[in-house]
Amino acid sequence: MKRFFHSPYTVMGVVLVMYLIKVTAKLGIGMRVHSPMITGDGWHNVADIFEALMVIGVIFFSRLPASDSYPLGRKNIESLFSVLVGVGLALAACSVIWSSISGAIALSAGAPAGVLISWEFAPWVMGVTLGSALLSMGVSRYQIKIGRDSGHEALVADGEETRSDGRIELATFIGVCGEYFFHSPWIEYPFALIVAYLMFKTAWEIFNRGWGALMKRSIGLGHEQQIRLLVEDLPGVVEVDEIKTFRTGSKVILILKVLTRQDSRINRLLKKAMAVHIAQYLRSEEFEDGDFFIRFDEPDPERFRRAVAVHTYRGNLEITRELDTADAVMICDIEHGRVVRATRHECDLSYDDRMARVHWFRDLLVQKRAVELVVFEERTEFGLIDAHMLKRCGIKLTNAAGRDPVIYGL
Amino acid sequence: MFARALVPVRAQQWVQGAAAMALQIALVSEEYVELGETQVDADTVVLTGELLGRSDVHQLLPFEEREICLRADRCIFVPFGSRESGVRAAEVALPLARHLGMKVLFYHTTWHQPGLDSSIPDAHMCEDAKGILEQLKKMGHEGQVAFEYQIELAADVLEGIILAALVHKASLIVTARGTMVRIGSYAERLSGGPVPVLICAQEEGS
Repeated sequence: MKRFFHSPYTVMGVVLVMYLIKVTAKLGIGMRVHSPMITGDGWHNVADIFEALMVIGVIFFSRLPASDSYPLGRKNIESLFSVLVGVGLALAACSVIWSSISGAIALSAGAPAGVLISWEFAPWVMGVTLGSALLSMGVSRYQIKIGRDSGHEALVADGEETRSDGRIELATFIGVCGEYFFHSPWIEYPFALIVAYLMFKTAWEIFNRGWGALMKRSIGLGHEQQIRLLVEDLPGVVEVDEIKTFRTGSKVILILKVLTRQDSRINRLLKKAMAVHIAQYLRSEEFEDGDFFIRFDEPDPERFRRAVAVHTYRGNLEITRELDTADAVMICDIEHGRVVRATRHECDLSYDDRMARVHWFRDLLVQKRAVELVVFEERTEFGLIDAHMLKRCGIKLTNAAGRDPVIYGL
Repeated sequence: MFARALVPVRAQQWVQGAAAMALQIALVSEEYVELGETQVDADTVVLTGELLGRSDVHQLLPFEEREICLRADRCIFVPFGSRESGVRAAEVALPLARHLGMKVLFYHTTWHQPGLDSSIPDAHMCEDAKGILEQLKKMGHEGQVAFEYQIELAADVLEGIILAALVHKASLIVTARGTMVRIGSYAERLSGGPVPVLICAQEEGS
């Protein structure tokens, strides 16, 4: 039963019934009392019936599933409808302003008031205008709520238009009351101007929403920043490299490129977790629905070459205390902080000629484009001299945390 | 609380986070090189970049996280099964959570019971797991630690644990090796990341 009342088609059925009641009442009473205003409003509601049928068609079309030809579905037809409703409502507001101003001028020039009806029909006229206004307000609330819940922008736009109709009807009712009770038919006109202002405001909101979706406008830099923070907060995510958002109908489309160093299995789980967090965020910000396209890439491997000065002591490879006591240097290619390739370069020069050995290592490091040299303890006198010399060649001397080359992935 | 931490490979950035956990950091370079043989106290936790081949020490693998996140929306995540490993993990996790002012989430994913149609995961739990859950709840109440629990019917246990930890924004997974497991310990398989994991030491003789 709940499902039945939450169906957009049920809502539009209610809307159609409402318009049928309004048309019958307004045309009936309008013709009976010879009121062109009420009769005209009745014919306006006849046009609304066709608009309601159009909404049903738009909803049906937008609910068709995505296909190869329409990978994101056909939700944008609702945005197109919203743009049209926005324009139509703005034109209607212009018409209300024109009627109010011309009516007020005519009244001040001594013309008779628009509604000159005997007291005999007063309750009927008031009943129809007030009842119509209340009906519009009630049904518009129902339309907007279900439209938001079900993600149908066309339903929301039509609901907002119905609400505007209700406001016009309320202004008309106030005008009728002013005429009957205070003999001041002009009261209707300032109220109508306020209604016109509200109509413009609503028209702009509806138009802007539809236009934004049609033009694939971002859902907002603030929202994108929040989504970026949510994703980057997850363990294993290095950074969000790219984020694009837009709407198709009421549905948010999110395109993300995320940098991680994880394998495909973990990336799959990360994707699921991201979807949960992003959907929660979008719901909290009153977005209705979303499709997320998340792809992964590796961050920049931050490639560089590190040299590790080593010698063999009692059969074990160790990081040397100083450069000149090294048997060799290991030139390591580093990617993502790990050694992916290492080559050993022996120094055959005599240990007696310290400077010659140091220069040999320096030249080798420069030739191999190493940017870092690791020794176990550089804070000796010789070490400081070496550091100064290497620094001039753009090579940093690093003090190893231990003697075991395994620390440096060797 | 842990007395001190050894800080081996690539885990130095976690020193700050470890300090927040009241760990006294032992940054003595030789210690980690020699750790393969070194006797360590029962209350020492080893911060390590890779899983060590020792089960007698607490091992904390931070992966790429710079520190333990202490935000209010975070939690310490304790997966449990039908045996005592979950209780051993909780014995470590609950004092840690109390110290850090964090809540604990006990998580269990159960296998589907054949012939049972219910979509409620709790209905599929075995009696042993229910018993462990009751024990964990009691420990949480006694330890005065805010806790929640979640039971799921995940298709894969390891993926269920990782996904739930990511969804519930776990700062740390605390787990213990099952004493009967010979191959495929979930505790060890969690060492693939990405959520920081504290693998509790195995008691002597277990």
